[in-house]
Amino acid sequence: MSTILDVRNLQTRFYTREGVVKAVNGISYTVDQGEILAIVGESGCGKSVGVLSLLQLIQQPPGRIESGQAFFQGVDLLALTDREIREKRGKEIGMIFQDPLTSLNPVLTIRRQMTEGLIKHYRMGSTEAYTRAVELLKLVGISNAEKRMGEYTFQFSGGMRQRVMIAIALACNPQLLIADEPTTALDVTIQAQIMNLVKEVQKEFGMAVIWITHDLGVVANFAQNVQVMYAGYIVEKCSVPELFSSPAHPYTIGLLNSLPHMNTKEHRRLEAISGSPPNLMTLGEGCPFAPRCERVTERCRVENPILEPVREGHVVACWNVDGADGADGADGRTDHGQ
Amino acid sequence: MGSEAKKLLKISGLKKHFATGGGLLRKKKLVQAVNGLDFEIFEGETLGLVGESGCGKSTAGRTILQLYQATEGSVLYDDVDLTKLNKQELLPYRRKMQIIFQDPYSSLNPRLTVGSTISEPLLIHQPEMKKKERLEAGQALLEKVNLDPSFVNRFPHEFSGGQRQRIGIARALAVKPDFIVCDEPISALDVSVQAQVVTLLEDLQSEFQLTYLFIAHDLSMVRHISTRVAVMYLGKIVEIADRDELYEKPLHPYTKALLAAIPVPDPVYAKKHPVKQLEGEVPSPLNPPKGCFFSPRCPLAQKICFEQSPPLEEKGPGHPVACHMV
Repeated sequence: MSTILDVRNLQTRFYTREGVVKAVNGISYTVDQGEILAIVGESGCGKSVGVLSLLQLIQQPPGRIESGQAFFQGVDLLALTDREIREKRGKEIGMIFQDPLTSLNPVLTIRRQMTEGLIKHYRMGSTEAYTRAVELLKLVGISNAEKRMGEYTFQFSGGMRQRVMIAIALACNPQLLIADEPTTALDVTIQAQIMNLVKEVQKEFGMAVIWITHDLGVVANFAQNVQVMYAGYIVEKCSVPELFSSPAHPYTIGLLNSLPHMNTKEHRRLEAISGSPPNLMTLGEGCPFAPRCERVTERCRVENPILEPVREGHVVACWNVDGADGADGADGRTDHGQ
Repeated sequence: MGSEAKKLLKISGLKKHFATGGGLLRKKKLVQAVNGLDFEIFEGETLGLVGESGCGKSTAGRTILQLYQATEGSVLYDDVDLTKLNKQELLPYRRKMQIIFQDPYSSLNPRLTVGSTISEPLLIHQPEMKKKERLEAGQALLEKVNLDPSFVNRFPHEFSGGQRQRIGIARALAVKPDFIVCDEPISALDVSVQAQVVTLLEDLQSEFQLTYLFIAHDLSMVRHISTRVAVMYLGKIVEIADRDELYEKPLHPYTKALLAAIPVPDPVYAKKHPVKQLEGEVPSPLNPPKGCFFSPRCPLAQKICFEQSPPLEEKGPGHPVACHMV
């Protein structure tokens, strides 16, 4: 499969009055055509800023993309001018945001918002765009689409708004869909509907999807590949089955151990990761996870590890994973379970 | 907890309706947030209360605590009906029942030091206490929730979400309560911090013989912490059962659908049991459907479901379900 997105050494910082927030610290990854990649991490780990930077959606100032390139079908998105990037946004790269209420415009009808991209990017006439928009609303499962086109966002429920967002994102047949925690604000039953919907349209349109989430359950059910972020760094990257069967980074292992298992009767004590995520203004030289890590050594405190392969298609940023240790991660997990 | 456990609370026919809208010429509407709850909470147990947002689970918790005045029904605490008591009579019960809030940011006063926040309940419930004693009590409480006692002089903004939630827990513990309503205590926290707070709650429960009403929408955490679990839908309880029974043999179609919709963090399991979706959305509590509230979305619905509301009846030992079709 060919690569559709190639991000190299992306670094984004925010210059605030209190100090410099190192939000994204040189991340590199690729996305293949038709791939579903999950980016998982806790709040403030840079997962959203990382993808918003790709589309130059970071407010500048205070934000600044310090370095990096992001080749989308061979074109460096970060080098484009405002006018050029606008051609990509919404047309070749669709985006769904976390909160459908604030990301839709409350004073415009659904029709206006649905057809805007079509009219702008494809120079469609208003009637033609309307017909296409109705089709899309039906596709995402909104009944009575013709009538609802004239309504406003407040007349839609949370799940329905997210469906509208998806319809807008799909309107111009994007090759890449970026979904930034699209189901976090929704209830589980609605989350299941939205996940299945995106899966269906992904199959139908064959686009690549970057799905940002903090929920490992969503990762397991939805994605093919996954990268774990911590404090603005990618700390582990591999296929989804591999992440759950043999996690290698101590942070990933800790996250998996801190989850309750819903399908077992046994009542085990949850293994919490001690401490809390670091302040991105005061990141030091060493590994950002070192203060919370059980495997920490002297080296970890002074030198930040780089991503290195532990196995085919599985990279980890940790000084204390040798080949055997990687497999131990999985065993470690079941050991804790007993 | 076994059958010998003593009933701490008995809730019967509890309703809470809120009036909304209305004006000079417009009629007021009633939000039927809690629509007739009947259940018991046993001493020392953790009763999980789950449901989707807007199903009335938080309102139920607050109405039980008398933070909201019940529209109808009774809340018996040790056989005393709390809904009939006046403010003065209620005070000793307020000491026995505490709450931990969802949002650790808005539930702490930013202008009070942590010490004052934690010891404020003592000021009301043990006014004879000296200032120094209160301060010491505050330090001891901080230690109990695994925070440094020297934090008493700091302000909430200096703490992370998980630490703030511990402060909230310390505040709830200050007056030595018997019963704590945990109103989504972990849903605002980072995943890696959630486990810290849950294990702390478990440890405190065994140390102080606390009884919890644990309100949450995260069903996997609820299975972990609860003794029994009650499922709410649109202001009513549709099913109550022991934890393992509820997760392994759910009877109500809504419970089944809810469990099937959870993405399990295990790709092998996910392959075998793909997430199943429930069609439709939760109806508005302003205008709930006729008959069984779940009937418009229910795959089993028959004629009777659209006409009569099913009562909550025992369908197995200690396993009441509200469904005509079970």
